Amino acid sequence: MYVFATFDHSNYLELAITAVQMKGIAKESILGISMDKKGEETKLFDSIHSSDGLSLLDLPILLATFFCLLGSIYGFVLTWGPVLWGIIGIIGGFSLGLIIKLITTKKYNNRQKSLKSPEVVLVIECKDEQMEMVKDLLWANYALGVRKLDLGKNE
Amino acid sequence: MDRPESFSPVRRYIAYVSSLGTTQLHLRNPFVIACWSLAFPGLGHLLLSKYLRGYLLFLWEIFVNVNGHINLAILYSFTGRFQMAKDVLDINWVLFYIPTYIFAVWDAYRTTVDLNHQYILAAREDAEIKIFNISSIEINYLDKRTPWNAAGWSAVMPGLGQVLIHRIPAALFIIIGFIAISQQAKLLPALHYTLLGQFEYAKLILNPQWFLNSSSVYFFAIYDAYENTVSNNKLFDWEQTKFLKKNYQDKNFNMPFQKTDIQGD
Repeated sequence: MYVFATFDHSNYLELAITAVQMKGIAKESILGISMDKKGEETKLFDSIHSSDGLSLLDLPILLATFFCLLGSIYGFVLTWGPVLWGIIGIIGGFSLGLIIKLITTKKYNNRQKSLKSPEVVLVIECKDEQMEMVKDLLWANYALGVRKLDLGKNE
Repeated sequence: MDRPESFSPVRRYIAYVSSLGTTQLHLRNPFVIACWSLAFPGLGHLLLSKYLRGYLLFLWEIFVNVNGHINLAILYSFTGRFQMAKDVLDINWVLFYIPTYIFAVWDAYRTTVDLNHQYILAAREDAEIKIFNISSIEINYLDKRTPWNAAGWSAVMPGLGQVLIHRIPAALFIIIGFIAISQQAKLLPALHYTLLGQFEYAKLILNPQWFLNSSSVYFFAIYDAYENTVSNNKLFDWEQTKFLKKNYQDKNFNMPFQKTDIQGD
């Protein structure tokens, strides 16, 4: 009997594997495969599980810094003062950087909107009576999906 | 103990998880690092985790800038008050500023290129790293964290994002540095009176010499926290992939499909 599960890279994956091993399933009966990520280059915003691969934030935050500096300087001779003009500089610089980055990225990278895909596939070989226990342990450790493999007799 | 033994064949490795933080090599854009040093000398080096060089250049900038009134001269020049700019500069200090400033930018660029080469070599060597460190004063380990969370904490108080991802040398320096700069600049009172609409009073109490330093350090804290969280997450994935490959891809694993002879027996 086989149980297949998908996971993201995290400590829960290792918690799941060790929990299954503690229930008496041999290390040799557990197969873990990390997927190569195709979509890595095509994500706009970094999340806990992936990086955007294009450093979207680099330019906006640099421009925000420089424009904030300029805003602070000219704020000393403008009515609203350096703090408000600094903040205006931040917003202006960040937006400008973001727009430039989005436009140039679109130009050079025909990105598709890829859905986030699972990062790890786990295959566990176990006895029939262990199967429910294994599935429960996998779900309890935040598996993305769990399914037993039915190798029915194809007749 | 945390690093390869001296007799180990490993020459380069991409990360080091120590009590004080996770230090790692990864590919960086040298122009981005140079731009941070342009905004404030030393910041580029801090991004590269080259803290001692970063501290040195940062403190040098503060010291010479304050004594030479560089920021005031920048302020007066940008707002067209050129005679005031000339008068405020202290010729006893100004000439110290230029070479070291240019050096900081150039060195940040050059070091990034060098470290990128080191990263490529280390990545090709693909040596294992230790991901867990427990010592008498701290516990540090690789983990996954949300980049925007770290950036957000550094946005409300510069340095907290660095505490979150356990970059103690950066966290300490940013927290102390930002508090010192904003105290000298009277940043918070100026913010207070600006929000109350008393713009003239805010202008009056703000100290421009120090205030002009604050924006670079503030955004640096946000960027550094975000960027390093992303890199740490990547490092975690890389290490776990290696771990699975080493331990859970046994050649004796019983694959579900037995080859059956199509011809029949």
